Amino acid sequence: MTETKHNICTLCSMGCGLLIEVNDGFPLALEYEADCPVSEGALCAKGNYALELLNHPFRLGEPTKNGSVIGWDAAIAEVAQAPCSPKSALIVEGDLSDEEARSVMEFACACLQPENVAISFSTNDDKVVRALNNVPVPRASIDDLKSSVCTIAVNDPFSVGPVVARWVMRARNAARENTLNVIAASEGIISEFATVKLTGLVRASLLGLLKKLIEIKGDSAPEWARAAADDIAGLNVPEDEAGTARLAQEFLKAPSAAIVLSTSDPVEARLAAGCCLVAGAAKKLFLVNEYGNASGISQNAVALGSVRGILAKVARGEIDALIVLGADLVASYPKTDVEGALRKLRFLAAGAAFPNKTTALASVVLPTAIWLEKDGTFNGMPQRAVAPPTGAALPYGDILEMIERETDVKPAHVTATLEGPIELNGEFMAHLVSEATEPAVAPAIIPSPTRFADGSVTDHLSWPQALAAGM
Amino acid sequence: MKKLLIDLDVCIGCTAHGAACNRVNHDTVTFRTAEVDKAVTLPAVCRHCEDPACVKACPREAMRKEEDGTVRRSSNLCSGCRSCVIACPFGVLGDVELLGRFNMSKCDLCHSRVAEGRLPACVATCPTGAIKFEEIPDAVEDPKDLLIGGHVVARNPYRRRSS
Repeated sequence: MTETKHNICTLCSMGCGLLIEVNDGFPLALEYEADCPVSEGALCAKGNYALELLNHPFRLGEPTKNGSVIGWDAAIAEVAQAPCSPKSALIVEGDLSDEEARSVMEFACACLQPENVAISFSTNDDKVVRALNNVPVPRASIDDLKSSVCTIAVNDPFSVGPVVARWVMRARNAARENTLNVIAASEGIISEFATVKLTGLVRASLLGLLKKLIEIKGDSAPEWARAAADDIAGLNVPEDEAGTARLAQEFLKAPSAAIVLSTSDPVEARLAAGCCLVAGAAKKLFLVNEYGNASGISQNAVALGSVRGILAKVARGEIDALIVLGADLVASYPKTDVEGALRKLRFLAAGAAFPNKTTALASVVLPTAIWLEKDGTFNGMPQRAVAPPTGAALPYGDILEMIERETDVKPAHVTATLEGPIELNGEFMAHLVSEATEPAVAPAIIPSPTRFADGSVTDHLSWPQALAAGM
Repeated sequence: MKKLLIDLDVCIGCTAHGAACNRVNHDTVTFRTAEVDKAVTLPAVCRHCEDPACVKACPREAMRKEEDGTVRRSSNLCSGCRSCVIACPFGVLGDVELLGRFNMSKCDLCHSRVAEGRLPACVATCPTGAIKFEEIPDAVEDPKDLLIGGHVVARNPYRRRSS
C-alpha cells in the first residue's frame, strides 16, 4: 500500500517540508511540499538527496568488532565495560532529536560525569544559540523576513540554508527602496545582490555598525548602550566608514528590518543582537544554523562538557575509554590532532551512519540511524520515522538506553536548567565590547554537499563523491 | 506552450536544480549551469528548438519533436551514436559518455511530472523561485529581456538589477 508521509528536513535549521511516498515501509520517491510555510515546496541540493541517505550502499548495517560482524548484544557488552568510570567519556553528534538530547543528559548524570559528556557541533552552532538564548533580542519569523525593508546578511546564509534566500530575495525585489546588505569576510555570490557590502573581519564590521548606530541614535539610544558609548568610541575599528554610515542610516530608517545571521562565532551573534537592540523595535534577528536542531538540543541538554575539553583530556591520558556516536571527530576538528589523541585510547567505540575516519580508528563500530529513520522532535516539530532503519542501525537514544540497561544504573533525574535572561546594562555592553576586541578565531569553513572546503562550488556532487571528498 | 524562464535577478547559483534533475532523471543531469566571467550563472538546458538540429542529425529517429513542442529522446531507439551531441549548437546534450548508457539524458521538461499536474523538478525545487514554468507570449514587449530565442528566457542575462 502506498502512502505519503510528511517529514521535516534537518540538514539545516530552516526545516523545509518533505513529502515521501512510502510503499510497505520502503520509501519510493520524494516530492516537494508546496503547502510548507517555510519553503513553499522548494528544496536545496542537500534536501533533494535526503532519500539517498536511506539504504545507501555505503551505510553501516551491522555492529562490528575489529572488522568482523558481531550482534548488538555482544557490541553493547563490549561498550558497557567503558562507562561508570571517571576515565570514560561520551561524545554525540549534534543531529539529535530533543528526546535524544534528554537521553544524553540522563546518561551523563547517571553513568558518567557531566563534564565527560559532550555534544559535537563542528560549526559551534550550540555556542551561537546559547549566546543568543539569554539576550532578549526579538526573533524574526518568515513573515518578518518577507516584509523586511532593510535586510543585513551576516556571512553567507544562502550557502548554509539556501531556502532563506527565497524570502530575502523576495523582500529585496518587492519594492525599489528595499535593500539587501552583506557583512562578510570575503565576497561571495550573495555580495552580487548587495547594496552595501562590508568585507573584512566580520567582528570589526559589526562593531563598527554598532558604534555608528549608538552615535546616530544619540540620546535616544538605550541607556545601557550609551553607558558604553565612550568605550566603543575609543576603539579603532578598521571598517568601511562610508559604507557603515550608509548601512546604519538605512537600518535605522527602515520601518521593518532583519539581520539574517549564519555564523560560527558567538561574539558575532552577540554583536548582531546588540545592533538589533540598539536600533529599536521591528529590528529582528533570524538565525540560520548548519545543524537542524541546534536550538532544541541547546535547550534540552545543558551543562555538559565540551568536545575540545574531552579531546584535551584524552591527549593528556586522563580519559582512556571513549564512546563516539555519530560524530566524525577527525574530520570535524581539523586543527586539533584528534587522530593522535584517539590512538592513545585504551578503548574507542564509534557509531556512525556512514564509515568515516573516526570509525576507522575504533575497535567497536556501531551503525546509527539518521533522522528519517527515527521518531522524535526536530526543530520543534514532532516527527515519525518514514522508513525502517538501514540494516541493524539504531537511533542514538536506543543505544544509550541499552548501555544503561547493561551497566544496570538507574537513569537520573535531570535538574539542570537554562540560564536566565541577561540584564541589559552598561556591564553587558562593556562585556560585549571586550569580547569583540579579543583576537578573533579564524572563521570556520561551513561545508555543504555543494561547497568544498576551499570555497569552490561544484555543479553536481553525488553522496559517494561527497564522501570521497571528505565532506 | 509553457517554457522555462530563468530570472537571473534572484538566482543565487545554489545548484539545487541540478540535484533535483539528477534525482528525477535517475542519475543523469540534464540541467547544467555555466558560469560567465565567474559573476553570472547561466542555465545550460535544452532549448527545445523550433527547428532542432539534433532531430535532423539522428540516424534512428530516436530524437523527435513532439506536438506539444518538447524535443524528446527515445531510449529504446537510441544507439548511442552521439550525432545529436555533436549537432546541438548549444552543447546542452553534454556528457558524451552517458549517452551510450541509454539513459534519459536530455531535458524533456519533466514530461511525466507535468502530465500528473506537477511542476518540473527544477522549477519545484528552486529555493528562490528563479526558475519558472510559464506561458510566454510569442511577442515579448522588450526583446532585450530575452536571453536566446527558443524556450529558455532570462532577463538581464549579463548583469543583475542594479540597486
